[in-house]
Amino acid sequence: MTFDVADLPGRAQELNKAANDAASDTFDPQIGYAPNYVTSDDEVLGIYNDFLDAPAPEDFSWAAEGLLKAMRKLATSGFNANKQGDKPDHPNLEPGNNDLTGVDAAGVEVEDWTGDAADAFFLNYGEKFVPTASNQFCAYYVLRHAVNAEAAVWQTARDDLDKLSKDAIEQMRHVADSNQDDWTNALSVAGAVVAIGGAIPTAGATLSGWAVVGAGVTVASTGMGLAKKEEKKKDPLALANGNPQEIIREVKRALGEIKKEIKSGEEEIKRVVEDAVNTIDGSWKEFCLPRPALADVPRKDIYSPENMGGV
Amino acid sequence: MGLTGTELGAEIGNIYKMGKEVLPGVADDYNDAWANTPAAVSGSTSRGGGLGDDPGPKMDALLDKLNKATFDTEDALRDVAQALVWTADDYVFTDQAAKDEFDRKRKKVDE
Repeated sequence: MTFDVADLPGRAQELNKAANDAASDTFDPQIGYAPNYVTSDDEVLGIYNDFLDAPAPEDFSWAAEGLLKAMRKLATSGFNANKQGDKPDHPNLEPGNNDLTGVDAAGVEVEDWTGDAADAFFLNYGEKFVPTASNQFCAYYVLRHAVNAEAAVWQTARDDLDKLSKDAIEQMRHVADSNQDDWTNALSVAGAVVAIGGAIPTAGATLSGWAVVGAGVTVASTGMGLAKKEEKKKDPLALANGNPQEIIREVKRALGEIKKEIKSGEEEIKRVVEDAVNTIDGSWKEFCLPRPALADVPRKDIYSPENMGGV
Repeated sequence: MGLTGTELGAEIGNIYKMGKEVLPGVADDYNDAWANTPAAVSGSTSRGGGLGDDPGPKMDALLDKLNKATFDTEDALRDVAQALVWTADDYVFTDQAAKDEFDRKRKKVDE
């Protein structure tokens, strides 16, 4: 279950209490508190404030599911519906939608008619329909994986925050222990998962821009993808023999690392989506065929020579 | 081409089937695609405090294009389908034999 960031203020309070307890343990009426054992209440209580309205990964489920449903309708051939984190050797294969070829078939039926609108429908719409649907499918594919990657970024961030905030409290409670080795490196930051899902299935698609978007996907995959997630990058936080001030400083540094992971992950996602938008903007007619003249012929003119002139 | 009679009726029957069944089916698929495409996701990606680099507005821009493409495609398909039905319905009055054959095919489609 995803960690609820609404628990972070409570974790901060526990951390602050542990810090104050640790400081109290060192109080000597003759010499006062031990150096570096007194921390600022305001600083500790507000330590997680930047994360309190972090997006929740489950808030993206409906969008990803809706996009997949749309993809099923626009798939001109079978595709793998796996998402990030699914095992690559267990593909979730979905069939193509054979209905889509019906538009080309309609164009063939109309081909024998001699009107200009009929000719235009055959040449400019029927024949181009399936490749255009493929272009649309590619855009859905990119966006669905981008949405899933965004959810994965926040899932990872929340997992990190959960672990970090718990470990920090334990670390603070054990700050006066003689043997702190067990707590060394207890804090870690896992890399976010932003792999967009491998090469875009461009079968039949005509827009060359998908290659550019696909290149972005590759960069995203190799830059911060599943491999790093599996490695569980350990952040060697220097907490052995620490004191409360040092622990707070290290927690803040770990939070900074989480922020960096979120930012770099989202930059990749944003760039891939932007590439897709640019691809479409440059070739809108290949993404959405212009409305065929046949669609706007009044009934009384339907088989005039300009429209469906006859066979 | 000059098709007449039964041949013409069969051809018109095919046109009718395209307009009555095939294109509306594809239009339905596009309607489903459009209906399942979110209007926006930026509500889910929003956050305060300058955290990360919110990709929500870019995603919304792509969603706008997907929504427009699927909506417009459905609209065009339905109107073309209507035009094909009109073609079939009206053309047969030029040729009685064609009309008879078309009526036979139309009955099969409408059943």
